[in-house]
Amino acid sequence: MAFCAVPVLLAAAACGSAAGSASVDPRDVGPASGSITWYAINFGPEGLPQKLIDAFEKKHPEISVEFHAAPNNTDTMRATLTTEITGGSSSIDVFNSDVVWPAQFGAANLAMPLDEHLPDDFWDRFEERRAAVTEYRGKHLAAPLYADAGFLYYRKDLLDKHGLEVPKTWEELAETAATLQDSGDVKYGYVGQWANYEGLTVNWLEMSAAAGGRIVSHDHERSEIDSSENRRVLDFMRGMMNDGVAPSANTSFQEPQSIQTFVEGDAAFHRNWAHGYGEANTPEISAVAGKVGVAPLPTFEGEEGPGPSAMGGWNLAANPHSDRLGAVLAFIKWMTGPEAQRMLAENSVLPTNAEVLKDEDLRRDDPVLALASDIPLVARPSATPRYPQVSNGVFTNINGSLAGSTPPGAALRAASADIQRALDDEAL
Amino acid sequence: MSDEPPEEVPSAAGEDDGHTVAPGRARRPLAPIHDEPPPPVTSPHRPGDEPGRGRRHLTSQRSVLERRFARLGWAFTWPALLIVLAVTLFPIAFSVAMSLSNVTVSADGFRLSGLTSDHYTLLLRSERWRHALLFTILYTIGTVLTELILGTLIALVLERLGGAGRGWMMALLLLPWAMITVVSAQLWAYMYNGVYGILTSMSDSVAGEPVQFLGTRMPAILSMAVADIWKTTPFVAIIVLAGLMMLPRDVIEAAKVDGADAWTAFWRVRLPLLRPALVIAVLFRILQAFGIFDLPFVLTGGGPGDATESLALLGWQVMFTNLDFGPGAAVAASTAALVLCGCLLFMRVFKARVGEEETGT
Repeated sequence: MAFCAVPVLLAAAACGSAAGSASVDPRDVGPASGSITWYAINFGPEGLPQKLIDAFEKKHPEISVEFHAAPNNTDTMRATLTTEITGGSSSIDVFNSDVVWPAQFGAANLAMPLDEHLPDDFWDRFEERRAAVTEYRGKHLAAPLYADAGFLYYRKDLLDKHGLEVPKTWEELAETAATLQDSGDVKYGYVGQWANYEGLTVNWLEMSAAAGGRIVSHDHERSEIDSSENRRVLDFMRGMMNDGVAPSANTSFQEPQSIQTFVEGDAAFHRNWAHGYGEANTPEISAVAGKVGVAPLPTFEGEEGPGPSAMGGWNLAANPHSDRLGAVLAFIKWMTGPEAQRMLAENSVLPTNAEVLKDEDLRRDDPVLALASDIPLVARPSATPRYPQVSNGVFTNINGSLAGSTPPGAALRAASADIQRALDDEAL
Repeated sequence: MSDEPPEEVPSAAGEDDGHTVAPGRARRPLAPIHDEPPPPVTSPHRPGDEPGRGRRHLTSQRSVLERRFARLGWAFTWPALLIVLAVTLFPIAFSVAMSLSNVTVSADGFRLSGLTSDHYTLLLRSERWRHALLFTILYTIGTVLTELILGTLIALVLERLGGAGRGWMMALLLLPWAMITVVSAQLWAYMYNGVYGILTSMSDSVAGEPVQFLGTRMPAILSMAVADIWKTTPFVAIIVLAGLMMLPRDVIEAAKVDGADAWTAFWRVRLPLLRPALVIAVLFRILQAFGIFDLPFVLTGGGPGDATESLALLGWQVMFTNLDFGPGAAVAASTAALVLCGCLLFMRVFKARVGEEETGT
């Protein structure tokens, strides 16, 4: 019965998609005027996106921008964008795009390649690697808007009290944490994001890279997760759980839960993105305000330090169906330029503009910014559109092993098989 | 539509009295008389038979009238039918079509081409899908059974309660059911929170060690089931209560007169009579439980590992996280087909059992 219906529907679908097409004509983007809609998850302090818009509109009075706040969940936002853009809607003109999206959005035609519309030297304003991760098959599908990276937050007061150093290696961290826990000053040693979601892939990537491990090969063809380096990392993480350095609840922690534990004063060390510093030092929401320090992530004993931070942050991408591309391009240019990027930095959002990132005055005022341009970075294996499945292979198996349901060896083998299947395009 | 009632009414009435079979059957032969109107042309050459002729004339006229009404009815309903087709059948058919063809997304939107079974092959070979299927089936059976038992117990209590007490209790019971699942799931997430959750600290003081409700495999499944059962048991209870209140009192009294104690009266008389209400409750619940999405989405994200990944969550991830539209549609279409088969099977088994019992008595 279903089979009979198919030809009819195919015909219907073909008609549907042929009508109302909005294909992009390279040079004909229209004038830089009109009103555009910017769809993004709120970022920075309350009202920052609107402040940016106000400043932009002052510079470009012929363009008006409306900010549409997206749900505060990356996957939900991607689902909304997918529905809108595959449906040919032009209600969103420009949107924030996660650093790991370009390949996927490029493969699915959900973002417009920007190269033909922007001057070649446009990309020089960014740090080279920042610009590189927005490429898919030689085309830039987005322009870096703001950066992010993983940092280690620690209780300055407790380390001072016990005369302890900020740990440089994970082994030192575990030891220091245990000392602090034994003294009764703090309940848990370390909290991170080890729940069953993409954040665990990020946490894993950082620790694995510190130990010299990889998730996939350089060419994104083979899984390399089942290695002795990664075994060392997984054993270490399980050790932290078993010794009580990390709470057993850590396997259900995403960013909000881990930061809650830290700002309540219940954890000595905490891994989080750049916003963790401001939040932990805001007296209204934090019991440990003023007692929190920030450091690069630790490495593993015998490896070069500091440990690399995962490259995070968001780009700006254009909806290929937008009928105000001229205005969108003007918006992208201004938002990645010095004025807007400086505004970001002043509001403790990490800029992507290399010039602003290196500004000495700004760095003096913001310890996170000061660290940001010096720490080594590691990118998630998102140059393949199969990244979501690769990530799923990482976090389900690692989380399962941390929660105690699979021994580490078996978990890494299973992860490797899942990742290989994803890379071979045979995974669900 | 309106053509049918006159034929159905007598026979339905006959079956309704099914418990006292004989009179119902006896009355039945009367009905066909109305239903065999000879062609109207034959009547004119019997002028003496006035009443018969009048009656026949009337019936044929009525059916013409009815047909006209029916046509008018269709005329009025077709816009509504078109909308129903557009909003329900089209998406279903489209996702079936999507699941059977190569889907590419171009600048112009979806493009379906060719006929392929690749997406279903991928599904059948995927351990992730098999695991999600197994989890969903077991979870459905587990929660629906528990809800059925608890709901029936609550309904029995409510029936005994009577009066204003019942009204208040029902209102109270309906609170969880009335709450949006995402909201109640968030509340449960707070209670299950591994460090600050009230249930976690309670388990700490009872067992001496905090239970990780969402962080470990079995507890996560059970915690999710508890949140589900908490929310949907009232629904089952209300349907069963409605069924209980419709039960004829004389049958139970008759059972008591025949010497049945309360227990026997419940098992042998009331429960079998409650069947129709239970079937409805169970069907509704199967449909919902099989498509469970919001609880795992909010509480566990399918974790730990893949412990609580349901078919609906898997379908969402394949479609909107991996952006694999063909395989995602295949997950959705196969889930719909499975739950449909499940419900039909359940109804068939159930009807068969009802039939057996009726011929048995």
